[in-house]
Amino acid sequence: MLKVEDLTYQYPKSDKKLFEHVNLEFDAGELYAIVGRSGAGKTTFLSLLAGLDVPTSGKLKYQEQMVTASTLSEYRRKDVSMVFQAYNLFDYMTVMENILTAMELTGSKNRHDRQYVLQLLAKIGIDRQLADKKVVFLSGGQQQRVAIVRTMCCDAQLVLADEPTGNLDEDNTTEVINLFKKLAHEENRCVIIVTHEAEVARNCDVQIELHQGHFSVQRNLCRSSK
Amino acid sequence: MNFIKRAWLNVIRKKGRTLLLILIMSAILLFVFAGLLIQEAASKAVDNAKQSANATVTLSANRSNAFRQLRKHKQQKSLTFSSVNLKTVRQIAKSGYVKNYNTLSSTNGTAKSFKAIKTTTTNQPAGPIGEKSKSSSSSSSLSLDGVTSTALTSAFSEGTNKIVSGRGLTVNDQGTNHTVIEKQLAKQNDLTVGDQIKVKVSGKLVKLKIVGIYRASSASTSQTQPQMSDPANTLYLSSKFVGKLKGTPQKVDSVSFTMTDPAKASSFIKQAKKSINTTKFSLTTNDAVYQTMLTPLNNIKSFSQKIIWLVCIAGTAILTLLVILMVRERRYEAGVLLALGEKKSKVIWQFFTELFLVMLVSSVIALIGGKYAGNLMSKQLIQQTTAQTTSVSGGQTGGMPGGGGNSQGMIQGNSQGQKQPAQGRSNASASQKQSSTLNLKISVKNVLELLGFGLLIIFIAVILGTINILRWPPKKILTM
Repeated sequence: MLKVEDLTYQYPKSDKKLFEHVNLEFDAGELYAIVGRSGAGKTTFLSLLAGLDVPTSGKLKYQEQMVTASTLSEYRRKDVSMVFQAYNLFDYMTVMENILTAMELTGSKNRHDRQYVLQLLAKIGIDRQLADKKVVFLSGGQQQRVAIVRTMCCDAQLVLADEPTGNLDEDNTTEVINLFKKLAHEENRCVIIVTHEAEVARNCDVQIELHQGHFSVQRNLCRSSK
Repeated sequence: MNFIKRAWLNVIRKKGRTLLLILIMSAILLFVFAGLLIQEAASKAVDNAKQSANATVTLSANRSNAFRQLRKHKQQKSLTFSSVNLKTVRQIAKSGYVKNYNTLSSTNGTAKSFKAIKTTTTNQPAGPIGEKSKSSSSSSSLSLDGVTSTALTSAFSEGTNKIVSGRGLTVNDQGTNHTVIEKQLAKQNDLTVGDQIKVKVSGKLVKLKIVGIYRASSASTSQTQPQMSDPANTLYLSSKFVGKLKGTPQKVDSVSFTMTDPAKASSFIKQAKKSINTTKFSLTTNDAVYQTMLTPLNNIKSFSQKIIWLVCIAGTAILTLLVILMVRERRYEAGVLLALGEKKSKVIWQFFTELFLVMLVSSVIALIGGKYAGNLMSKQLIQQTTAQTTSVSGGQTGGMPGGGGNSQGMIQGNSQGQKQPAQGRSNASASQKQSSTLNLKISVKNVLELLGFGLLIIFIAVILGTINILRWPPKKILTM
């Protein structure tokens, strides 16, 4: 579904290459975890996959189509959905408005279906009353869950999440991971999570470890039978 | 249309910020609107001044040439001025620049069937205490002023002289012996409208019929010019009749052409010079009233233009800084929108729409307050500019006693008599009265102009405010 070919990235005004000649392939129906130490470049790599930044060299191919500077905007709108580390919800909107805005923007088929959104919110413990509150009145954990639902509500086949469980307790973490699994296994989407939590990584189908610019891919054997 | 919804939600939900923006935008637009109103009112006032101010061009004998001839021919004892042929006058008057014209011819005479007002003047030159040197003179001569119409003379049009009984002279009185006399003269001799009087001109006895009585409000000029006759001794007659008395029925001393547009006086002179002998005759513009009126209005017009541009530049700068701060504060939102696939142009449109909504409210406030602010500003401006102009024109009038820039003031003495009505000051005061207020009116054009300026300001502010953020990729914006 998503191919990274000979990808090299170097921060502007820096001599050191963060990673060089990376070749990776991500398939639909799989849940990936990118792990590594802080500062290894996990979030930067995820940003390149999300089309939020452009690589120094190399190619990014989605459904065998090259993602170029001119198609980046459409790629982000139609094909990718991302959960940010800092939630990045619109603070002047309610929970429902945040999700509906993203759905409308990405042209989701359920963009007018409030019930659909409420059902998804209920699954992660956000009730109807909370759904009509401005997001600034929600706790960090609640905001993170809303950010995840916002991603899930969009029809993008590629779901990227940067530390999605960073602010969640154990129960909610399990619930969120189950939601991601469902997206991958039942809805046949490709889900890539950046995490530093070993437990979360173990629940994913594939673990990709980033260490000093090198990626090592390891399939979780216990997760191989989806 | 999603960006409009987002913009609306932002404006509605972030009340504090919206209120602050409304206040700042209202202040900017208020001054822009006041400037626009003043500018338009000043433009209209300038146009009105052009219509109302009677700039005149006087065709008269070339005095410089007369003096040159006097110096050249030493046997010649007095100045000789050429008279203007009426045929030439009619030819020049055909010009489109001419609204109307007044032929002027004057001579002197003595009262026969009545008594002229006698003026006795005593001069006491300054000297050591106890040394009093006295000299006195008296005059009882009549000044016979020939005109086409009394209404066209500056003395009547500016209110120095006023008809109190009967009527003034008109074009229909040309060639007749009809006359208009001064009230004091009439009172002294028990004369009324319809009476006949006799005057002696160049040894001939002439009968005149009184058709009107006027009151002269100007003081006697005898204090400064003792040899002058009292203004009450001025009799108005038709210029053609005076020409007959002088033996030149087809000629007049001078002609005053009133311009349809005072600004075109120089064009008219250029055109008229083709019809006259410029060695013998000269054409002089008398547009002091027009210029005195125009100067403060033009000053206000130019000042209001400066206000508009200054406020626009300052407003754009202030608003741009605010938008930059606003965008910086909301760079995450912009970054998320871009990350969600929103186009950069739509993010810009969202900010633009937010400011547009603010601008609409501010425009209403500016419309309400702009007229009030404009009135205050224009009053202040007019007070300052007219004070400056009056002091300048006052100085000029003082330098030209008896002249001061009106058509009749330019009529100088000829071989038979002298006349120098002092009317310069009344012109200055008249113009002051006319330009003491500006009529500020809100029109659809003003409102559209205000909205146009507002749109321009917010457009520049949004572009300058967002360009620094939106030129980066979403990741950079999100990590800024």
